[in-house]
Amino acid sequence: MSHRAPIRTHAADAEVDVLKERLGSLAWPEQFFGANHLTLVHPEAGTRLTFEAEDALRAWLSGSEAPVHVKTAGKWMQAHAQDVDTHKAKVLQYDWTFTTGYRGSGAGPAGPQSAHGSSGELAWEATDAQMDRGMLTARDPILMYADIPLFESELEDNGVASLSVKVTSERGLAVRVMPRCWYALLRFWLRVDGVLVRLRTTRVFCAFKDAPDVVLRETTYQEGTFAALAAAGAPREGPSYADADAAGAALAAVAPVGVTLYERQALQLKEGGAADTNMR
Amino acid sequence: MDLDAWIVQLKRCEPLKEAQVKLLCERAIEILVEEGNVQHIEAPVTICGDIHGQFYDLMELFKVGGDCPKTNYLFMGDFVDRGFHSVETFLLLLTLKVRYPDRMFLIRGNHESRQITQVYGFYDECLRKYGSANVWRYCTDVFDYLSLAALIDNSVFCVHGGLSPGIASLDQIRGIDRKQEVPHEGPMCDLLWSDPEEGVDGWGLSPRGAGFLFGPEITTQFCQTNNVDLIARAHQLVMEGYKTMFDSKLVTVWSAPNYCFRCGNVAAILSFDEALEQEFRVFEAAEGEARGVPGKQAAPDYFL
Amino acid sequence: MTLGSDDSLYPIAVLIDELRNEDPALRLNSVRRLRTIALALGEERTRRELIPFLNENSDDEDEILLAMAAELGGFVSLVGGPEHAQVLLLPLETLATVDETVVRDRAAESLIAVASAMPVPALVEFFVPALQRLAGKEWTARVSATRLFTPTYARCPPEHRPDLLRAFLALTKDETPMVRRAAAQALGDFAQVVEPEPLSAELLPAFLQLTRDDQDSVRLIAVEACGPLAKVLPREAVYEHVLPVLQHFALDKSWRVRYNVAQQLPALAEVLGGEATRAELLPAFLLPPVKELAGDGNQYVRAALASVVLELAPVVGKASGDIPLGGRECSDAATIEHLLPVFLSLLKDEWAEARLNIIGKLDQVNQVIGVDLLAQSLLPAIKELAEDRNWRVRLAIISHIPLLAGQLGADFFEQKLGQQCMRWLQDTVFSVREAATNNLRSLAQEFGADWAREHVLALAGHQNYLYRITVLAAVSSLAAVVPRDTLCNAMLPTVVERAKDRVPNVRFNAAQLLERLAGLVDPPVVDQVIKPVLAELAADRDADVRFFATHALAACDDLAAMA
Repeated sequence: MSHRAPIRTHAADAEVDVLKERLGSLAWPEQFFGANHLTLVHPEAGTRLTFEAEDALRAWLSGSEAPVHVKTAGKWMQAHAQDVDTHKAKVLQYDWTFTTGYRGSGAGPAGPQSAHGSSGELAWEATDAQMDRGMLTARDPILMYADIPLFESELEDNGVASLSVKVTSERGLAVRVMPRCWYALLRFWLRVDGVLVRLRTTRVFCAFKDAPDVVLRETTYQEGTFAALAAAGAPREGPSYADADAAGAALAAVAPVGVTLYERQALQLKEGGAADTNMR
Repeated sequence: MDLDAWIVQLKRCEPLKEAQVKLLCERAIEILVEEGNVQHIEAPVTICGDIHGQFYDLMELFKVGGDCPKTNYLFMGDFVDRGFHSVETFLLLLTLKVRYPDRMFLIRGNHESRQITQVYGFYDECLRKYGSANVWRYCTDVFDYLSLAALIDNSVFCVHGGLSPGIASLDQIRGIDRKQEVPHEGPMCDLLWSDPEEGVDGWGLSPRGAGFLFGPEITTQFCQTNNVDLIARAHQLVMEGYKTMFDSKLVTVWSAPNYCFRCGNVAAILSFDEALEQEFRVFEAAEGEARGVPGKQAAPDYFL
Repeated sequence: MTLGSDDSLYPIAVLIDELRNEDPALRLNSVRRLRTIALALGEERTRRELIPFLNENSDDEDEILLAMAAELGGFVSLVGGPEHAQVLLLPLETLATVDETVVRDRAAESLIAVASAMPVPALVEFFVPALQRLAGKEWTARVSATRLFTPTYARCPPEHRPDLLRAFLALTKDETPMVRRAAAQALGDFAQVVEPEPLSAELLPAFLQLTRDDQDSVRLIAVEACGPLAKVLPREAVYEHVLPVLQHFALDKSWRVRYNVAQQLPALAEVLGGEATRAELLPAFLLPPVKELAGDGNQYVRAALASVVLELAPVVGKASGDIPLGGRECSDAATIEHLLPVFLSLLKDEWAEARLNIIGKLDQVNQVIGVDLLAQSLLPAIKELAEDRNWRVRLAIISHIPLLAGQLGADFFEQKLGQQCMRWLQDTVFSVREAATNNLRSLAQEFGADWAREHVLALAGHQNYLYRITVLAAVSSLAAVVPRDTLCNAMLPTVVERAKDRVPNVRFNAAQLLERLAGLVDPPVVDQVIKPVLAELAADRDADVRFFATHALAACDDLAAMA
């Protein structure tokens, strides 16, 4: 595992311009931690799992989210109808909320070393196996821990969108050490003030003492307009949605209302072998 | 009203008393009401972008640019919100404005608004530091009187956000009744909110469903119509502190280093000498800016 | 546990009652007043009732347990003095085992306090078994145990020591990294109380083992034992074992480990520097890690090295057999050969903090290597730093300029740095210009007024108003140290000229300066030159110019009135 702590490396303006051009994007989150990444490697199996910002934004660009409009949009369009007409203003088409379906970049034994590109996809398969939440909540010692930002945007004062990955594990730099498992949490979090809240969480877990060769992945999409959430009994818009943790708690209170996807998958690291899951 | 003493006090990051703020704001309104929607400024002047309550970084800015009144300044809005010292930051700038009205110029940013400050921190900070919203009320009343734009020696147009399709000439800005809360639509809103966009021909509409984006032709046309050489604006974070676009006809200046204590960006100010020669001065976050930041250690955490 | 019907004890009864209350706030309040309760109950009932009660209720909230752990540390006198202190061990042992680190740490502190009050026989009979129990329980207890060995071992009769040592050694090999880390942390102190023979034969190997631990965090802590171990180990062992560890750590893959290596260097240098007989070995052992760290890929490591590396100079110098610190004329070969390249590379470090840390010690560099060599080797580096892209570095260099000027002499200084002093006056950063103007005063005192005058006045026609204001600041800085005729004949005319500047900021700065000069020139000059200029400015079209000119005129009048 490696990531560049404690310096969070932002890309410079020129670098971002190059990326925008290469990916064909008009927009880009103001805070882009292009040099941050979390990479989990299983050397014996030749498997690599990476979480990084550039691939996440590729996934954003290839997504097809229904357009989201800010609260004042209706009134604004009405008031500007004439301007828009006179100046033939074109509506730019892109998802300004940076919503991404990214769940990590992977490479299997035959896959490329680089995290970019989709070849060498890991063979995630549906499973009924569950992460051992008891193990995660057990007050086992946390020796190390890391929270790695990947990108963040203020949406020009219309809310917040961010993607980060947190990780705990036994070995490596700056991670939370637990004696029995490693665990990573990738989370996309969006709040559009006055409109909606959206959380997309990917949890990746390996209980290497008990099941060293299986990595479990659990994906949850949750979202709702503030109006719909309030109607279902969730707190009203305000401090209850100040950050991703708070919003997560608020959404959990009304689940399954707001849950749009829940998926459990497993990745077999290698046939039969019983070696420890090593992490670098 | 001992303004010199207030300036000394505020430079120590100690806010004024509520009654003093009231006096200060009343006097500020008397001065600002005389200024035009497009305030005329004579070079030399140093222009600055968003500050966002990063008080210790503002002190760093003065260390780099020189103290007011030695150096003349134009701050292009967004003095408050997001940082931890919006109160001290705005009061210091305002006290300097009242003490040296011809050396210090302030124009309005989209955060100088009742609605935005209630979401992004200034309102809460006033409540926390004074126990009531009175200081917030006095300050937001001042916001309504801030100029919308400035024009340096008739050749540099300065505005917080950008251009508006409703405004072809400066005279149209002069015709706005600015003494109001920032509206949700219309030219006044656009000036404080719109953004330049390299990839847009003419005018673009933000996919957000509100807000304009303007491309290079619009910029060139505006400069020609109004006989100006440069549009200087703030509003958007740029990692290197400043960024020129559209064949150097437009520049974004950003003056909050390490924005929100995590962006890792440098800040810049742009100084014009008396011959309008430009010079960017780039600076980093003050060491002391960490002061007053609530302890947000990356503590080990049992997360699920 | 109840009290009798004595009304005066009623408040105490309430407190006792509240120890069992369901409301945690009330329980906390009561625990914080345990001393009061114990005093009211008396020693015997405290031992027989209160302490067992507390022990049974150690499954409470962390905040309450923390308060309890803290209180019990001061309880020896309340349970009947040292001969009864052992009753406190049981509850503290329990608290030293809980999950919450803060509680455990506080309990361990209290255990140490209680142990220090116990007479030796009681220590052996009660405390040593308690320590052994902790060392054999769950990992939380084992972490607490690591802290208790040093005070216990030091007071134990020799026959009990081997068991304690064995228990400690076991913890250094514990399966839980947290415990190994705690043991590594305790090892430096523990080494100070262990006898030489087991120290070399048993503790040293355990230390070496920890330095090879899989976990960064364990190696990181183990590094910190290098200095303390060097103090008590025989010299041979230090050379043979500790220094190689340091050399090895300087290459560790974790930058935090390498950072700690840098921090350990002065302590080692100090310990080893006193040893003249083997000192020739020192450079060979100490310098490789220094050189390694100077090229470290991590900026924090280099910055840490930059802040300590100069402290190595006396030791390295001594090792060469030359005249030690202060022997400037005969600057020593080893320092120059080995450390000078390190200084120079850190002075050019890409990380500003590393450069700043070295610059902050420039006066020490000078003491170590002497002025001639300073001129030869460091001047190029200083000239480079004088134009550093980080303005704080430029500012730091300026603060050393008077020192350098004094040592280099007028001609040499002028030749090497004269132009630079002028360039600083035209720096784009205000604070650098300000420091440069203040600097002029020191230089003028060193080299005479003409030197500064010529340079400064040339700037008065600069096209940018900020630099014309700088000239005024420079005149203000020099005014008090130049001869009066220089002031009146060379400087004053420049100021008068600036009072007609087209930029108002320059005019009111001139007005402010004229106010200051009025106190330094003869009264006729004030009347004939200064006041007419100010009078004109007092009618300026700019409000600020009028304000400062009027203020200055009033000051001139006050001056005249006083005379």
